[in-house]
Amino acid sequence: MKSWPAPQQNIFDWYKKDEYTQLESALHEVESKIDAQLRNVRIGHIDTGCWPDHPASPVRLMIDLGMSFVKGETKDPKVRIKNGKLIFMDFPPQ
Amino acid sequence: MILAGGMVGPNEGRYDQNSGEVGAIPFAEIVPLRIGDEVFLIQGRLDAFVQAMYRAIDLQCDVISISMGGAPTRKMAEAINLAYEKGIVVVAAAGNNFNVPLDIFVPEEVVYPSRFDRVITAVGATANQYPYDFDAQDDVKSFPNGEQMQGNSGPASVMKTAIAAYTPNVPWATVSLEETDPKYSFSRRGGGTSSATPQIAAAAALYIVYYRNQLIAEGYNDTWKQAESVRQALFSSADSKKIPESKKYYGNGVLQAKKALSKFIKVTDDQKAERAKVSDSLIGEFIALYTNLF
Repeated sequence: MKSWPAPQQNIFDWYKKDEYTQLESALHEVESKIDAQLRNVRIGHIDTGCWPDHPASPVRLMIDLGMSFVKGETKDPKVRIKNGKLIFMDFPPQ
Repeated sequence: MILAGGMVGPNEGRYDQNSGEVGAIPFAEIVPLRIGDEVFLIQGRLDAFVQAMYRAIDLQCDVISISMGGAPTRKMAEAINLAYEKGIVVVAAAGNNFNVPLDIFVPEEVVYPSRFDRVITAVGATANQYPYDFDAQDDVKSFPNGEQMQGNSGPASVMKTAIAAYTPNVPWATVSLEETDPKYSFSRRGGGTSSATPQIAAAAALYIVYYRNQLIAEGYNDTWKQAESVRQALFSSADSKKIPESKKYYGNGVLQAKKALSKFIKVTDDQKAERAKVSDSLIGEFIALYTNLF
C-alpha cells in the first residue's frame, strides 16, 4: 500500500525477520530442538474461509475439520465467490 | 498463508525472486472456520462466531486466531471464557478504521472480542517500526481506495493485553478468477490488523510446541494456566522500546517470537485474567453503532 512504509528488502517475508517479529528465528529454534513427530499443535482460524488450492495455503489445512457457520451455506469452509470475486481480507488489493 | 503457509517454488506467484516457507509455523494444523464474507462482526455473524468458537474448543485447538472484530454479546463472552479456562490462547484483531472525515461511526478503539482481557489484542506496526496509525507517523499520508485504513488501539486498560505485529504490506494470497484456470498469485499489499493477528497466533503456537513437556509437567495443560503461560511469555518478551509511545500504541510492545522462547513462564493463581462479561449498556452501544453504519 503506497500510503504506508514498505520494506526495503525481503519484500516477501520481511515481517518474520529479526528486526521485526523474529518469527523466522523462532521457527528455526523450535525445529532444531523439537523432533518433527512432536511438533503437534492445532490452531483454529476464525475468518472468511480458506482457499486450499492456492500454493501458499497451510500445509496441514484440516479441511475436513473445518466448517462454515454461515446461515444457508453448506458446511464447506472455503471462501465463497460472490459476483466473480473473492472477498477474504480487510480490504481487497487494488 | 501468514500463519502456516507451505513451501512456495520460485515460479509461483508474482514474486518469483522469492521462494521458500511462507508461513510462520508451517507444521501447525490449521482448522478453517468460516463465519462470513467480511471481517466485521455484526448482527448476523455473531451467532456464527460463537459456533465457530465452540467448534475450535471441541476440536481441542491450542490457539484460536480471530481476524475479525466488532460488537460484543454475552454468548461471545461465555465462549471466550470457556476457551481460556481450557487453556486455549485466543488472539484477535484490534480492528480497523478509516482516516476519513465521515468515519465517525467506526470505532477507533479496540473492538470485541479483542477487547476482552482474556484475549490477546493484535495491533499493527508498520515497516518503519511506527504504528499503523496515520496520527503516529511522519511523512505518511492516506490515499483513496482503501489506503485510508489504519489500525485501532486503546483505551489504556485494554492495551495491557495488547501486542503488535506487522501490517500492512505483508504478503497476501490472491486468486484471479477471470481465466479458465484460476491463477494463484500474491499481493504484498495485505493489510489490516487481521494480518497482524496470525503472526501473534503463530508465536503462541511455537511456544506451546517448544514447551509442551513443561506445560504438561506443571499440570498447566487443559487449564487457564497454559494460556496464561503463553500470554505472559509473549507480553514479557515484547519489545517496548521500538518507539517512544510504545505503551499507548503497542501495549506490551512488538512481538519478539524468538525471545518469547527464551524461558518457560510459570504462572501463579493471582495471574488469572479477568472474566469476559458484557452488560446491557455495552451491547446496546455497539449494536447501535454498527446498525447505523451498515
